Amino acid sequence: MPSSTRRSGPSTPPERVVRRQVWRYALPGLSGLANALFLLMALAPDLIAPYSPYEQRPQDALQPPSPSYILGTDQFGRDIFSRVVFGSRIALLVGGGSVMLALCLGVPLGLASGYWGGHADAFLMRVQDALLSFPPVLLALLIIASFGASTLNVVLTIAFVYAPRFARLVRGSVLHIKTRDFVAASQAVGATQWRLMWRVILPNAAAPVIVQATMGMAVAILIESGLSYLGLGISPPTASWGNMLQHAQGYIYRAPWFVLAPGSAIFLVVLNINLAGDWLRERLDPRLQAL
Amino acid sequence: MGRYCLRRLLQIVPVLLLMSLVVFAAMQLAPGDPAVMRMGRAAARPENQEALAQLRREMGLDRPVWVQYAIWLAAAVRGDFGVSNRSERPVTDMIGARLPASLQLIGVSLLLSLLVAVPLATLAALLQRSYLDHLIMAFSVAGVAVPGFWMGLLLILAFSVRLGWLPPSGYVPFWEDPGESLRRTLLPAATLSFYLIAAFTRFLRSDLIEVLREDYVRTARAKGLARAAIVRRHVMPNALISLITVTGIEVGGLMGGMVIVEQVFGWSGVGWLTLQGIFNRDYPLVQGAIVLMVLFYVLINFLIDLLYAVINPQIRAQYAA
Repeated sequence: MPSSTRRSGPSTPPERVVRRQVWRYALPGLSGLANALFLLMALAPDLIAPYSPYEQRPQDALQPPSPSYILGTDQFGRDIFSRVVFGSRIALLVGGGSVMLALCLGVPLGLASGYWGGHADAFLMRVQDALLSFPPVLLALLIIASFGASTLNVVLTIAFVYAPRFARLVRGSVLHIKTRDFVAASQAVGATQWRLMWRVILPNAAAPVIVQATMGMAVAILIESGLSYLGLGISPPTASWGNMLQHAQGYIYRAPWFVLAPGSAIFLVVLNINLAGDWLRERLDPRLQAL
Repeated sequence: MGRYCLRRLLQIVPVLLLMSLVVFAAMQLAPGDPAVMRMGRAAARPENQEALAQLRREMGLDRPVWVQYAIWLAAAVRGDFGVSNRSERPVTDMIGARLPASLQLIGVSLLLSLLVAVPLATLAALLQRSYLDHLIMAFSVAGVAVPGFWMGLLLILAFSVRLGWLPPSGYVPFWEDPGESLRRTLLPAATLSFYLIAAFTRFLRSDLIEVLREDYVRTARAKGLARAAIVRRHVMPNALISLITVTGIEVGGLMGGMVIVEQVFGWSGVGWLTLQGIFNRDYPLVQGAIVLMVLFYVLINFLIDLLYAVINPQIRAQYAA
């Protein structure tokens, strides 16, 4: 017998059971709380930020953390904490927007491609192979190089990087699901093709897509911050965690604290979105439940 | 084996063709007239209009787009990606000059990641559910959430700003000063490896746990083989496949990470050159660099598929008949 089944037997000491239950609920709870805080920061930054993210106070430039500026100030004397809070807006906008757009493009394509098959499917798959053979950051760089850096272009770019991944995922599930009996049964009682695709097959293919979309949001935030750091993403004065870090590097000797806050924000947000994705995967993915 | 090679090679061709089409199309959609960009400010003067038209003809810009693509592709296949519109030098030479820096960075990073990740994953898998295992897993979950460039900045903060042990940026060719070159590779390679170690460890651990549950491991244990010998002789060879798989998956991320990390550390490799190309609107350079990086990625994955066949007799047998 594997040791796991033995451990959950009746002889398990109670403190161990408690500890396991605490881990089981405390960790998702904490990360859920962090995600809620991120949403609050992004939706109502004025509630949290003590200063305007744009107001410059040259006499206060590059101040270390203090009671009046808890995370210090940047090269123009702007409050770093307030800019980090406002930066969450861009993270949510780009992360959420690009994944939504990628879903809108990828899901119908994958659904149609998997359901109908044929030449269109073969063609779409080859196009996807080509797009998927680009490492995501390189494809993003290529698109930004040709269309220029702006918030909208960053969203479009990441959506374009992700759409084929969602399409492939949906197509794979659809191929599997459309052979199942309940699909044939729906067809037999006269469901239209449209209804079969969207109401019968798609809900059963949704779980892995939801998990991947969540994880995709984390990657989108990482790509956005990377592009902004390179100066190819969100341009100043709009506060984005990536472009803050680009400027922080220039003052790394004089103001080392400048580097810490925006990076910690990216790390915490990405970590908690990933944890939420893991949690969703455990809940939703039937393949994992079987294991 | 030969047949398998050939088959996989033939599968690559359409992917590469489409990839080249995507790169070419993206650069076609970029604003601006390539001839004007090549000529620079002089192109705006009225007396140069004749020369500009001449240049446009030389560059083939008066021909239909698909002819331009065919010409570009035919040249690219021969390794000619045109001339940089900034330095007037052949793009291929410019990239070639930066290649050793990038290969050194990628090589050291991969080596470093494997050296750390394999023992970590083995420990975690053998001591499954122990505190050490939880700690290693926590590290690997957190590790994939750290943006690479921020990791780089933190390392610079610690080792250059605070401790003053290592220079914060710059590349020294290996053949000029091997010691200094490796010293300068440390921080960028550690930055790139950080993510890889986290990703490798997570993947390899779950694979090792699966292998440890196999019947042949139980048999080996039943016949009294020492634990270390079981791991060395039965578990590791079987986990090797997954290590190769995850390397193939992560090489794509590694290429993207390389571009960013090279910028953080002023490491003048191919990624850094690509970014200079983007900032300078040097489209031929960007085109060439991205095609070569994707080609490298596709070839690595091809080699990995071949390695599968070398390692796993079952795959080889499928194509032997």
